[in-house]
Amino acid sequence: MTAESKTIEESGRVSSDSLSTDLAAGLSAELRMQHFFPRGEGSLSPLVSIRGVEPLSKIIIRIAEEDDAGRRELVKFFGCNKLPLNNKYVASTVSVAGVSLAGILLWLGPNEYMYRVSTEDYVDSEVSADFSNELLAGLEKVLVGGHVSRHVSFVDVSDYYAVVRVSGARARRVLQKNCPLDLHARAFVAGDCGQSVYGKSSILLSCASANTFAVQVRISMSGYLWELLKFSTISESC
Amino acid sequence: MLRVTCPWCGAREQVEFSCHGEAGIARPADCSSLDDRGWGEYVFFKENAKGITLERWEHIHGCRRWFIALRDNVTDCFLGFSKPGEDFPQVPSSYRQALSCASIPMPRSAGGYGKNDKKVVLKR
Amino acid sequence: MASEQPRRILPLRLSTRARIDRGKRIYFEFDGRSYFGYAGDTLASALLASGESIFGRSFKYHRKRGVFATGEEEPNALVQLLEENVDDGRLVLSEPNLTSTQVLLRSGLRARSQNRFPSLKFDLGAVAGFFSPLLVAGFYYKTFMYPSRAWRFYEYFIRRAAGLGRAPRSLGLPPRIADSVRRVGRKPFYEWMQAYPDVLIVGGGLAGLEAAEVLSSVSDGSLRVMLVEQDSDFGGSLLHSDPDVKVDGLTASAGIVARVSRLRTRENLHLLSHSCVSGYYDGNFLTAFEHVMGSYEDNRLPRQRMWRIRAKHVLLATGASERHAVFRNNDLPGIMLADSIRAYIRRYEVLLGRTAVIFTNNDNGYRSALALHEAGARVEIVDWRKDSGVRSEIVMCARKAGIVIYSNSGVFEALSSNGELSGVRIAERMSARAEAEGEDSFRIELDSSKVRTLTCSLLGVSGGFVPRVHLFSQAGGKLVFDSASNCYVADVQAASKSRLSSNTFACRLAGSLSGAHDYASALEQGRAAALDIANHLSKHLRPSGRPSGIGRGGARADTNIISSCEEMASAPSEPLPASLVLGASSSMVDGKANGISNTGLSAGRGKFCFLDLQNDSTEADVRLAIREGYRSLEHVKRYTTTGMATDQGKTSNMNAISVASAALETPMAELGTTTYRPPYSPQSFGAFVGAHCGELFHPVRTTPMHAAHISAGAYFEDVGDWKRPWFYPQGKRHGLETLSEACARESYGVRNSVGLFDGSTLGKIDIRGPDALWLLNMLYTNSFDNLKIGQCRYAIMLTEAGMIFDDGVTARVGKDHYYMTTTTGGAARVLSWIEEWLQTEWPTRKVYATSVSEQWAVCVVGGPRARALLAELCEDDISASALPFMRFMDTKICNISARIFRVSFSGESAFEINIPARYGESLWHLLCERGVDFDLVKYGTEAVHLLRAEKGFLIPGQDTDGTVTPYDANMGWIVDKGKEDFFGKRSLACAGLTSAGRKQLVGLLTTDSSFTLPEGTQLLESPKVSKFRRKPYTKSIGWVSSSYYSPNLEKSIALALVEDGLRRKGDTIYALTDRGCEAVKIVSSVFFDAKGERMRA
Repeated sequence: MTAESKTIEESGRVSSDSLSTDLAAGLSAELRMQHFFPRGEGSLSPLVSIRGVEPLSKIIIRIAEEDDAGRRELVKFFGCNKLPLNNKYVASTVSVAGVSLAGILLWLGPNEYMYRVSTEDYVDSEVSADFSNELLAGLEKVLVGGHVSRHVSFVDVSDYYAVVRVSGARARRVLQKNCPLDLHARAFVAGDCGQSVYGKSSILLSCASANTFAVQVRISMSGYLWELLKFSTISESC
Repeated sequence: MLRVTCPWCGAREQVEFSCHGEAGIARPADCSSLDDRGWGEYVFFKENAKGITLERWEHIHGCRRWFIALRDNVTDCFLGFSKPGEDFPQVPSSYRQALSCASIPMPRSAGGYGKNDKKVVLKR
Repeated sequence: MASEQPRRILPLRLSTRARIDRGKRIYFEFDGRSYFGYAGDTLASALLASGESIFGRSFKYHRKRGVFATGEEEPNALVQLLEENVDDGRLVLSEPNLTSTQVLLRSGLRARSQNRFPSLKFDLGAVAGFFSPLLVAGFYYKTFMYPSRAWRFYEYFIRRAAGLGRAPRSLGLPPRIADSVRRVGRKPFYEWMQAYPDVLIVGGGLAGLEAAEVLSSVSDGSLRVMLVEQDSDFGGSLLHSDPDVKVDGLTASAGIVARVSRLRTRENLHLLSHSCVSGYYDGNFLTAFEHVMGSYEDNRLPRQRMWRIRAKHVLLATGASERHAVFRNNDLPGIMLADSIRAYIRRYEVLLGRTAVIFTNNDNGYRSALALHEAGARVEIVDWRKDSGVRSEIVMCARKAGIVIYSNSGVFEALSSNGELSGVRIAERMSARAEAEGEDSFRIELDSSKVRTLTCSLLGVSGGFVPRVHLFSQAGGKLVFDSASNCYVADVQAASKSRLSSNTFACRLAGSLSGAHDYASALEQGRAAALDIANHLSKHLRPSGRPSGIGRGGARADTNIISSCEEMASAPSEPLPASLVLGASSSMVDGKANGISNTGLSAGRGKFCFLDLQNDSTEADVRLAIREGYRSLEHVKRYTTTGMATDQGKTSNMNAISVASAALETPMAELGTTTYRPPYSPQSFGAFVGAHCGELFHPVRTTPMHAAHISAGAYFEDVGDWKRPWFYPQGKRHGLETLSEACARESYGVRNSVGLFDGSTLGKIDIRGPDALWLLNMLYTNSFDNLKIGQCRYAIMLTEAGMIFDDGVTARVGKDHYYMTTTTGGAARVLSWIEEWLQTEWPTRKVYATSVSEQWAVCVVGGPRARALLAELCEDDISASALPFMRFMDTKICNISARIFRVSFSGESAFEINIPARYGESLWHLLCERGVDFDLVKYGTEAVHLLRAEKGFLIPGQDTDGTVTPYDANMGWIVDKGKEDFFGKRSLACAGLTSAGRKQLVGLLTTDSSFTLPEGTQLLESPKVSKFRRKPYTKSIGWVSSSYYSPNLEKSIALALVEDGLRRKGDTIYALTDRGCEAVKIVSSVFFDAKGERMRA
């Protein structure tokens, strides 16, 4: 670690300073959002970029493999052609709260999918993507509303996980150092995703393009993931 | 390190998995009808065979699915995988010939996977 | 030996372009003296060129030793680096036990020799040589026995004597890195890298290069190929081959250069040099350790990189290493492997002696002789074989060059002057007797009447070539004895058989590893193996629109075969005997002189016939082991430590087997070898660790409020991977509070005003579906049938064996919708438990369990003034009637939706506020700020544990250990007897779980209320304790599971598991502590507010 870096425990919680001064200044009570990754560039190499992207709405959808009717409704709701196959994701467009929301639907298991708002739109954004309530309400209406016997489940996990975007010429190398998936340019392409580990933390890795990836991790491990990614970029400057 | 094939995700490194011991031990349909010894055998006793065994694996850092693997625990060679509810994987004939193994393990109980669920009719 | 003339010579005619670049001088230090070498030199070659010949002292006998080989086989010339300490710039010991033959020269390099005091030339340890008869193998099993107290004295010297190098005590760095560390602060590091090639080729010699060529061109380059070479250059033995060897029509070195640059243009081929493939594990998983070039100058590069490679197919082309011979004093400086001599001449342009003898049993030794001759040395050849008269071309060349050849002879003793080689004594074989007795090599004698003495300062030994089967053997490949080459080789038949039966051992061999004796066949083998692999893979290639199989880019008809018939390691050769000792044909008339028959082996005269040069193990040691009864080779190896040093017997293992076979009079083929285990050569710990050290050793899990805890000065406790605030020490006059002071203050605050606690780590699971109720009823002991929406229930989970393993509060959120909580440590376990049942046993049940553990940050506000504090912040009414105990409510705090649960672990009126994690820290600060008016105190896990212990609430894992049932925990009320089935129900009815004498959870009060029992204290029936080893010994009747000093109750309290405890309330038992047996009284486990009025307020 460089001398100027904070410990894992200290990094990643950057909003408290500003918050406490506000409170001390006696401003009216307001709950502020915190970020789970440091703002700005995390990479130590010019050939790769590590940036936190948050918050993003995320929903875990459980629906039975044999529920064809329900799956068709789901596809319609999310505006994608079909549900993703094993370890893939598809693009989605949902009209919600007057906004046309771009997102992706990732496969997590045979009866488990995750909807996530598109990372690209929210890199360095000041506006947060918080459409979970609307999406959940919409899903309830469409999928459960008229079909009492349909067994589905939607759970808001927007705050459970946070996403890091890793991009650049050396992005694959940085990820391949600590992830046991086969990330060769021909083996892991745009549209692929996979749950695995990075170092010792569980992640969900997805490939947006040849040089752009999204790493999703539980917020409790976000400090560890950030530091490990940063460490892995050191030797990529040469 | 072994390479394990999840029936849903394909071949992955062992670090993503957790092994949960012997497969094919179904929960008895009526637990109260067993005597203490019979219940104890269900809870505690395993074959623990040397050689080819049927095991349950969980893809913990992945799709979180449980599946069955047929593994030779002497050579650490995986011989087959199956999803719960499918037929158990069989020992390939070439392996059988090459090692001339006499006995292939049979799972202790053919039940499980909903077969013992009295209330629900199993639909495949 | 001081060289009469300079050792560095001009390049020999043509061919091999030497590795060294005379344009670039590099200065370095060795043992305090300054030397120089050229770029491309190794430390050994530069020192040899400068005239040094002594490089170290041997392990046991401290004999002088010099360089023996090139590369990783070097047993003698080990060095330790000296580097700058970062903080004060002093020179400190750094990496030890490096083979100087592999250390590449770089500027600023400082090294020292090992195992000598005070210096190489004058080493006090040499006195051990006089004690050598006492220091035979295994002497330490028979000494240092009595008195055992003296071990404190022995140990100091034994530790100093053990090993060769010394472990570094502080971090030393190369000068430039040290500077940069002082500036930037980043220390040297290591990293990992993963690779998944279709084919991994190990070894970049001719066979490997050819295979890489073929594989990277088939299928239009769709195969992913990786070629890993240990050396800094590709080419293997071609790097020091003779001038008449041509590759692709060019000289060998030019040919290699051309090949490699052609290969570098192939996108699908990854060439990795400076990397040693060191381990071959299951399923074609291999590890390679790359020495990253430039890492000594640029601290942005890792020192080493561990490649973790999972290949579909592996092609081993690791070559063969030369074998030593066993004769008296075969360890003197000046004795080297013959092929290494040639390598030093051709690659490093160093001539190691002007008068040389080559002792060989094969044609390859002749090449070294010719190279020596060409370099201007006077050479004589001692050829073990009988009729080298009618031999190959190379022998003819030697004769034509005028080199004297003594055929049918062997070296049996090396002579020394001042500890270095000065000559050898040779003798002819007694041919007649040998014919008569058959071909058992260990019965061949030397004729003492035909002894000659040859003067030389350099002796090159070539006992044959042994294929490097280490990796093959690590992967499970069997070895079989090959009488033609007199060593163990890979059993390829068995390998291909097992390859058919399982897909895990997809490994092939090529080159001299698999017996190729000339470059042509090495090339051919490389190509054939590559094509075989390509064919196999093409059946499985992903369809990519490309033609598979051998296409246009495949086998090139014009591939460039070597135009000479140079042989790499020629066969046939005649095996050298187990040891070459003079058989006294005339002086052992009755054969009883040494108690051994006339076999040519002689114990007395076998002194200092070394097998393992690094561990100083001799052939007499092996015979001693066998005399003492060790029969198995594994025992012999460990008793004599032959082959157990850092070189792992690469040049000596076969000789050891040979000696053992002679002594046991069993053919070598029946003895087998010892097991090869990774790593192939010593590797740095750092590379195994990679990034996972220091801060990154293990993930640290933190809650959203973590920064707030840090700024509040919290000390943290590790709970699994989590960092939880343990206590918040405040400053006092004399410094910070201690743990107990803080805990007292915090718990007092909770009981008397209001406390704030971070409960975010608890597991939370969303359960939804028509069968949700069924699931909860199966998981828990209680019944959930009558749980209303908005209501919570505390419940306990049992294993199928009936033991408590988790507990938690579950709330009903909707008709078929529940919200379950678990303990912090049990979150993952419970989710897995649920999934196991739903996926494997009851797949048709309609219920989903989804983890939401970190979706919610949890602030627990508890105490008499908690409600007052929160009322201001919550939108809705949270009075006792609106939000009673064991209920929850959805409300808003500062416009953010939150869910508040009225549950209590502390026994006070408490509110657990669940808010989306992104607002957790903000809420925490808000509560702290508003709480000032209410005397809010932050409390950590220590206070939590104390408070709940006062109430007798159990913690699974603390008060249970997997053997505690609900009845043992005095929680029979939580088991619903009407439920038809739940996990563990049947077990609770088992005889063993209902019998008397089970340990039950009770409270304990000490007689001295200020004394707190340590957790884990054993409890006894009576204060009389019997002494150790005397029967009957005292039985423990229980143990203390939780123990605290309670400031609220002003006495120490404890929870314990005691046999039949629930029947024995009021009894006095005894606790075994450091200050003797303390009397304690068994009481109820609830110490405070038994009715729970404060909780429900």
